[in-house]
Amino acid sequence: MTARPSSDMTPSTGRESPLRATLRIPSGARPLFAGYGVLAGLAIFYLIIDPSARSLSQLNIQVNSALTLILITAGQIIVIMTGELDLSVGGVVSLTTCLAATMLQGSLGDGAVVIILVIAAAAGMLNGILVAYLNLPSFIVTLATWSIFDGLAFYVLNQPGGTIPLSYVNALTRNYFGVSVAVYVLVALVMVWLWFRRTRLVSKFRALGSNREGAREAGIDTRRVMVLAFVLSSVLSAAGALYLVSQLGDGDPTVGASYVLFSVAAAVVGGTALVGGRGDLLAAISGGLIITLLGSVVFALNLASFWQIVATGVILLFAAGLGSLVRRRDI
Amino acid sequence: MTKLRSLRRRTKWHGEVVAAYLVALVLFLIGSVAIHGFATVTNLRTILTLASFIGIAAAGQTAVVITGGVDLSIPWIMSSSALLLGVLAHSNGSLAWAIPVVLACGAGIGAVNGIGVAYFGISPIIMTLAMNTILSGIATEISTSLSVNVPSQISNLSSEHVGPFTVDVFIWIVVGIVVLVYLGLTVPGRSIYSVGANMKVSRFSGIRVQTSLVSAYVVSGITAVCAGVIVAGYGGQAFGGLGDPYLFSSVAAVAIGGVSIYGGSGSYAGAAAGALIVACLGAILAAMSLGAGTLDVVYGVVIIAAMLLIRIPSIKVRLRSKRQSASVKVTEVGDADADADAEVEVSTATNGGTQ
Repeated sequence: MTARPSSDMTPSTGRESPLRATLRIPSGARPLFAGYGVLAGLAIFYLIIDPSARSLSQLNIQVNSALTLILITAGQIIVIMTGELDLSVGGVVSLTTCLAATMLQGSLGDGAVVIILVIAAAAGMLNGILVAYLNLPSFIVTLATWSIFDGLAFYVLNQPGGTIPLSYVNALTRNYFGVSVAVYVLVALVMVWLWFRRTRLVSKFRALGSNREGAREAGIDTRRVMVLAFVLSSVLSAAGALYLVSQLGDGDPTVGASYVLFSVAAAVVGGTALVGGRGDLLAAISGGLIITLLGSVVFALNLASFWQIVATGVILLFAAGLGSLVRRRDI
Repeated sequence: MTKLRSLRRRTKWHGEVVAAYLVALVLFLIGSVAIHGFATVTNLRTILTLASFIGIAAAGQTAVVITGGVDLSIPWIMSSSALLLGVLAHSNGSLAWAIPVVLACGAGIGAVNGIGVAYFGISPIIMTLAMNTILSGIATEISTSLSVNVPSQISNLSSEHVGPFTVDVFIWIVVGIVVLVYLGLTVPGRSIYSVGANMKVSRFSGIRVQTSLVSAYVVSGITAVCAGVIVAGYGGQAFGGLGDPYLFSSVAAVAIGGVSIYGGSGSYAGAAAGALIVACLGAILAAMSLGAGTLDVVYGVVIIAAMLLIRIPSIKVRLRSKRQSASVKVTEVGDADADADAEVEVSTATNGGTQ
C-alpha cells in the first residue's frame, strides 16, 4: 500500500468546464500511456510483417477477437483498484457460455441475456460478501468460487455444445456502416468510463485500494463498495462471455480458465499497478488489444501458437516484476 | 514425555488435525453404510490411491501456503513433468535417468517461482498463475501429441499392492514423512513458518527470508512432479489436462487440514487428512454417479467452509473490531479483550493477504 496520494483520486474542481474535466488526463495515468505506446509499436510491427493486414477491416477483426478479453479485464481492473484480485472470472465466463448455449435457444429468446447477467451479478455478490463481510482473503475466496462456477458450468453442459441461435450470432457479428458491433461496444465502454471515472463510486474503489482503514474512517461503507466491485467484475465478465459465444457458436465449460491469467496480464500490460488504489479502465483496452495482437503477430511470423501463451506469461511476469521493483525503490 | 510433547508441538499436531482424520473416517463410514459395495478392500484401495495423488500435490502446496502464498502452477507442473517423462522414457527407454531429470526440472520450475516471488516481489498468485500458463504452452509443444504412454514400471506403481495399500500410497507416506520432518523439525523448514508468520521479524532475526521462500516453492515443484508422474502411471498415459483437478483439490486439502491461508501455521499432518477427506468425498460422489461438476462445486464449498470453520472463534471478534471499528454502535459492544485478540489476528492477516 502506498500512502502517496494519487491526484486522480481528488474530484475535479468546480472551475473546470465539464468537457475539459471529462477529457482531463490524470497525472497518475503515465503507465496508461506506456500501455498505449506498446500497443502502437506492436500494431506497427504487425502491419510491417503482414502487409495483408493493412486494411480497415483488420480493425474490426482485431477488436472482435479482443472484445471479450477487454470486457473481462475491465472488470478485473475494478477489483484490482480496490486492492483485491478476482480469479473467479474463469468460472463466470465458462458458466455464462454454457447458460447462453442452453438458454438463448429456449422460450425466452434474447431475454435470457438479462437472466444470465443477473446470475452473474449474484455470483459476484457471493464473492463480494465472502470477501467483505466474512473478511476472507480474496484470492482464496475467488479460487474457491472459480471451482464452484466451473462445476456449475459442467452441470449445465458437461461438454462443449449447445446451440447459439443464428439470429443472435448474426446480430453480434455483422457490421453496421462498415464497423463491427464490437467496435461500437468499445466506443460505448470508453464513453461510459469517461463519465463513470468521475463518479464518487470510482473514487471509493480507489480509496479502498490505497488505504482501507482511511476509507472507512472517512465514512465510506467499505463492505458495500467492495461487494459492488465484485458484482461489476462478474457482470462485465459475463458480458464478455455473451459476446464470446457469438464467436464460438456454442458453450464450453472449460473456455474460461485461460481468461483468468489473460485478464490479469492484460490489466498489468495495459499499465495497471497490482497494488490497488490506482487503475484506469482504458488500460483494459490497450492491454486486451496487445495480448490479442500478440496472437496475430505469432501467427504472422509462422510461430507455433504456444508462443502467444508463453509470451503473455513472460510479459506479465516482466511487467509485474518491473512494477514491483520500481515501487520498492520508491519506498 | 516432554520430548514427545515438544515433537508434537513442533510438528503441529493439534486438535483440528485429529478432528480432520476423524472426519475422513466418518465420511468413509457414511459411504459404507449408504452405498452398497463401498466398504470393500478394492474400493478402499482406490480411495487411498486417489488420496495419495492429492496428498502428494498438497505436500508442496502446504509448504507454500505456510509462507503466506499459494502455488497455482501445480496443475501444469504435474502435466508437463508427466509428458516429459513419457517423452524421455520413449526416446531412451531408461527410467534411471529420466526420473532424476524430471525431478530436477520440477525443482528448477519451483526455484523460478520462488525467485520471482522472493527477489522480484511478484505476488505469488501472479507468479505461479503465469508459470502455469507458460508451462501449458511449452508442454503442448514438447509432447507434440495429445497424450504419451508412460513406461510400465510407472503404471505398475498403482496396480501392485499390499492389502489396500498400493505402491503409490507408500510413496505418499514417504513423501509425507519427509515433508513433515522438513517443515517441522529442520531449521530451514522452521524458518518457512517464521517467514509466513512475520516476514519482517524473520528478517531482523537473521533468517534468510528469500532462501526460505524459494525453498518452499522448490519443495512444491518436486512434490508436484512426484504427483504428476504417479497420476500418469495410474491412467497409463500422460496427457495435457492431467493435472487440472489438482489446482483446486490441493488447495482444498490444505485448507481442510487447518493450514492457515494467511501463512505461518498449520501442518502437513492436517493437509494429509484433508487429502483423505477430499478423496472420500470424491469416491462418494462418484458412487452416487455425480460427475466432475459436482466435485468442483464441492471443492469450492469445502475450501470456503474450512476457512470459516477454522476462524469461528475469531470471526466475531474480527468482524466487530476490524471491519467496524469506525462504527459507534459496535465500539460500545467490543470489549478490551476482544480487541487485543483481534490485533494479533490482524497482524497475521496482513502479511498473508493479496497485494
